[in-house]
Amino acid sequence: MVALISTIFAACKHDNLEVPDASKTFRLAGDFIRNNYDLTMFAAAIDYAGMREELNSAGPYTVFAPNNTAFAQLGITRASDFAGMDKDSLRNMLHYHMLGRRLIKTDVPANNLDSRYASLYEGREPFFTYVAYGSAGPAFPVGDLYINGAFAVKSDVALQNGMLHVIDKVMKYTPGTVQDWLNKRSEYSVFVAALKKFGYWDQLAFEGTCTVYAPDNAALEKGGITAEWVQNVNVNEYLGARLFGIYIIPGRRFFATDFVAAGRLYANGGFAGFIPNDTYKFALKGEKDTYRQLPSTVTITFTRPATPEQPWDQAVRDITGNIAGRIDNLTDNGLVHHLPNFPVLPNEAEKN
Amino acid sequence: MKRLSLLLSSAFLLCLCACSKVEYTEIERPAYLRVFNELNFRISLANKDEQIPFLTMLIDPVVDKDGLVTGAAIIGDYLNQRDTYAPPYPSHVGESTTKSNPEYPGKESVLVGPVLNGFDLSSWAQVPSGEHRIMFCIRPTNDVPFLQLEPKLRKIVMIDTTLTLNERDVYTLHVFQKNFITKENTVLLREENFHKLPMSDSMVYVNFYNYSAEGFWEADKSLKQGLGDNDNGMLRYGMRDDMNVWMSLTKPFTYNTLPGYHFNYLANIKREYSGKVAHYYSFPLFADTMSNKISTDFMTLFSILAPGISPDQMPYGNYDTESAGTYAFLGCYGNGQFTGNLDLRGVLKMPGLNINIHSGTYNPRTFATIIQSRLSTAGLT
Repeated sequence: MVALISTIFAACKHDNLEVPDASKTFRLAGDFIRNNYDLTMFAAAIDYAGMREELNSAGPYTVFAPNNTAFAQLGITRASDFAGMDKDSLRNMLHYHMLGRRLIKTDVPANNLDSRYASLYEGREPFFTYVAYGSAGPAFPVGDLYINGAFAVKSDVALQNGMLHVIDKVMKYTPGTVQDWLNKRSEYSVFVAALKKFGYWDQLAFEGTCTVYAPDNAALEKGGITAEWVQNVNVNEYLGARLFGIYIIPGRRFFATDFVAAGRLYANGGFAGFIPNDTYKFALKGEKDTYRQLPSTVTITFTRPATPEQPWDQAVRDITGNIAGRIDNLTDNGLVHHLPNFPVLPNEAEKN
Repeated sequence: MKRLSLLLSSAFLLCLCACSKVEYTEIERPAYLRVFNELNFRISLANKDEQIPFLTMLIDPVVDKDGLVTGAAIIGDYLNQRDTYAPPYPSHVGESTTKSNPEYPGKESVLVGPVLNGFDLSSWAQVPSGEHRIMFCIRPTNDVPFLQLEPKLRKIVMIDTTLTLNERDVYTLHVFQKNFITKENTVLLREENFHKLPMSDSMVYVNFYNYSAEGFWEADKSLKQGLGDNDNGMLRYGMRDDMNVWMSLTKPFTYNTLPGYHFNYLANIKREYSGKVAHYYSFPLFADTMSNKISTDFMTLFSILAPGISPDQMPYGNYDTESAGTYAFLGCYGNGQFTGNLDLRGVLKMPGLNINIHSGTYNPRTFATIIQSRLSTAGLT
């Protein structure tokens, strides 16, 4: 009986319940990134740029961390791939992915395209779009966050010194003009030469903004446009606006995800109009499967306008830029999307 | 004795109760103000750099040295684009589940106007008369009160101006886009006079304002994508600056006009920004001579045509949208949600000019209205 009673008493013994200290359970940004299997490339970049300590300092920071898929789009799959890179520009790139404040998703003005927040890269401001709810109304929340064409696959991860959002694309921002960007890349040399010859080159140095769909040399060659062709072409025989003006959308800045966001917000995610100074039209769209988290694409369509005989617009050719690592290249005066093919053939732009 | 003591104690209790002081909110020398956000454009990819027209109104704001608003005497927050129809009573109060307010005072719990000369001013807020600084700030479309927003989001001032309100006068304040090309926005304060006019309750009154943005009707149709929707009919493409209004009264959903009310010339409307009250046009409530003078049911159709075009020889066919601003059409019936087999070309549907409702021994009984029609970029009330 005594033994039984003592057993009962023993059963009543409880250890002190320890309530975890809220501030201790969250890790510092640098440690969190280093310990996350999906952010190993980002962690390697941070280590290579010597920024671990900064990320483990008091903050507060908001980190937009591209996942390994995002780096793989740029061909970076091993930590050693960073080895040859310039540390300063890598540091700038990483700072462009960080804000000097704590920003949760719902801080961004709801349903506003292109809200701006200063990054730690000299205060330069990426473009934020938070789609809280779509055209169906507030009863049907969406909750997508896009930054410079990247999609936040996971947002609002609390850190001891800030906030972390995982994004599916490395933000590709290059200081300078679109001209500088194209000049530095030899794969666009034919496109550059053609723009110069047809008088579209200078506008790419202007202030303001534009969106350029840039076909590379291989893409133009499929349409018979080579360096030699550009050199020998008689400009007066062609409608320059249609043949090369179609690639430049002046005054507009469309990240691939802008089309996706606008599709959600207004149930209309396309943009179309006449090619400046031409009778033919262009149509733009962008697509992304945010549910399966597939990379986004951009599409440009060359369209023949309606005629009395054929009273509706007819797409001649549409070209999709589906190489995720090569679209959404932001510069100071515009945005460049890579095109793997050509929308307009020279013989479709001949003057009659 | 027992009863007496009970009586005494209850009397004592009553005395105690009588001592409680009720503090009534009171505004001395008020003016009556109603505010509309008429920036009725939508943001789309074509104009994505424009701000969403979701506003906070601040009367007599307190601004610190950095230009940051830290308070205001009166705040009208969550001021959304106005509803197409704004009745004189705050109809949306009981049926709304969001904070967004289609007008001020609207859902705000503030002192509202009295019944003035028979007009219910419960959609007009009382504000102290005199000179006021008034500010309209763009705010994000979330539920965070303006003063709790982070400073960055409290600095987008769209309009900052000064207005003078006279004691016991009735005002409507309109925020609208002044220029479609430059996207310049402005405010217009209109001193209403309907409560001073000798109006009859057996007449229906209507007037028209065209506050459209300059350059809207001339602008290319592709720029008007996303402005309004199909419900706005032809008006979503805008109308010219000088238009004639022709009125017809018909039996509901028929082309049979009431005798004497077939394409009657009613008014001329010019696009202008002024605080002037437009002339009220009227017709008898019981225009239908066959009615029993208790209730009547009719549709009011306004054909709005450029000078030189007669409604009898309408050059536009059904579903024609290429009228270059020379034609617009309003149909007013019931609660404005009507559908019928009548093919009304490009009509903008609005509530009827007669109100039929159960009253006393009559069901229904018809009451007349005073309608102010405001035609602007894309939409109307």
